[in-house]
Amino acid sequence: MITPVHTYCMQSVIPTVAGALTVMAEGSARPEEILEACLTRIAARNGTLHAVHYLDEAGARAMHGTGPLTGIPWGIKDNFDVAGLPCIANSRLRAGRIAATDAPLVTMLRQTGAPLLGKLATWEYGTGTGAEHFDLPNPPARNPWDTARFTGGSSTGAGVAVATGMALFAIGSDTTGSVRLPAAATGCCGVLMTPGVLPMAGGLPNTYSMDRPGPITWTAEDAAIVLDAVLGTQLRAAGSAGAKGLRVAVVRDPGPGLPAAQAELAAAFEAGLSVLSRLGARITDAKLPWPASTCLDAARVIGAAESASIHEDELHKTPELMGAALRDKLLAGMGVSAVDYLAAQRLRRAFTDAMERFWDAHDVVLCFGTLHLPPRLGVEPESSNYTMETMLTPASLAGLPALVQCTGFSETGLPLHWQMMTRQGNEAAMFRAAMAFEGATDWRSRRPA
Amino acid sequence: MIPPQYAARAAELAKGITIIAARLPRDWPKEHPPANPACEATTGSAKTGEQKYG
Repeated sequence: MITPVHTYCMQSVIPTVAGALTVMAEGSARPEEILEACLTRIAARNGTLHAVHYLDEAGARAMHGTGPLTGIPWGIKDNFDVAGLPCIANSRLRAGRIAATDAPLVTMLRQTGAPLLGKLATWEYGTGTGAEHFDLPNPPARNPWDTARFTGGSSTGAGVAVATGMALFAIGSDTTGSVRLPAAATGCCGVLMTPGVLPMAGGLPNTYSMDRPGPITWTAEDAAIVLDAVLGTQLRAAGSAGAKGLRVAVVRDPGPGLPAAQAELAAAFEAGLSVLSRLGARITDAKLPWPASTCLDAARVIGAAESASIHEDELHKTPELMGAALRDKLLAGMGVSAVDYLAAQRLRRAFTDAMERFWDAHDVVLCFGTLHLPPRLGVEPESSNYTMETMLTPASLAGLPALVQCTGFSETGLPLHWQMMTRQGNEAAMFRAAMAFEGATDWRSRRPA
Repeated sequence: MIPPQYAARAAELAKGITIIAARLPRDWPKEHPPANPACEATTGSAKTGEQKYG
């Protein structure tokens, strides 16, 4: 059914990327109307939600390119360079910095014809400890499902912007969860591709070896559409093939030292498994070569050391300009011994090799992302636990494609989620499972009020 | 280098990260490992030939 054009200018109806492209192709809406609706939502909600740090209204209106995403407004985390716009990554260390050129990924997205709305909220330098200290240049973004709750970080504005229709898709960056955690917290879909497929160049580095950009969208189908437009892949078509015959390995246990997933997450997980099973997926229980908790330990050691290496000069010269979360992470990194860093890298190598063998028997791993519901903002240890007690780092360590999607809502209306991982280059399998699940459930019909 | 005014905080945080690192397995074969992913990342991409840090 085609939604009348005037409806798109109302706050109550937010189109998906797929829906917006359809109505524009049918002539029921013009690109300018889709854009104006997004700008109206930003004007109405950003004062409370703080998802957009720099709005480039004139630039978005002036964008007249043509391509597969013409008329689909998007935003990008403020740790990527966009020519002529500030790129301060929410840090006093970079106050007043204006980017001279577009990051390559921005160039690639401009070529799709999609109008760029501006820069989205981030933790300082796209990193942190999970704790919120309220000491950065911009106020923290707020979760639209409950504004007293955290949005997930470090791409804190990306999920909020998409869930509320301020943007129809967003680009974040992820080292150990910074695309996937915001997607989980806001009920969106967050995707990581095989490393190197989407360029991180022109993005402020957090680590040398684990950073990846990734789209956040309302649906898995939308993510496929965006990736197809940028990369020339056929993920939307591949994802439409359904879940029948997919070998899905289920990993519930996060390993020693981590808590079990919260009850409502676990219940939605099991209900989702039943859906995939009905769709013909072959579900088996499995164990990763090393548990997620061991991967998390390795990723924390690698991440802290590499971040400290990248930003050591600033830590030495101007530590007082940093927020407490960034400074604490770098100080911890300075305490990592070379022997410990290498122990983490050896685990990483062995884990990566073992996962290659794992995929001989499985197409997709299904597990949790974080083990918690979106926490109350700034309430410790809730806030840190949401970020630090996760099953996200196996994909970070081994460079696996990963996808987080919504699996329902808690009794209090907070989004629930699961995570998929797959072999490098086999993103199509992940999209088959995610799009089949999405098509068989109605979780995408609910948006935050 | 750790700024002197943060030395105490750094020591406290170093203890924490050392406890995390101590949980990692150490019983690796006594042989030269294959290529390290960190090295691959810091010396550029085989696909693009880009040399960022090498």
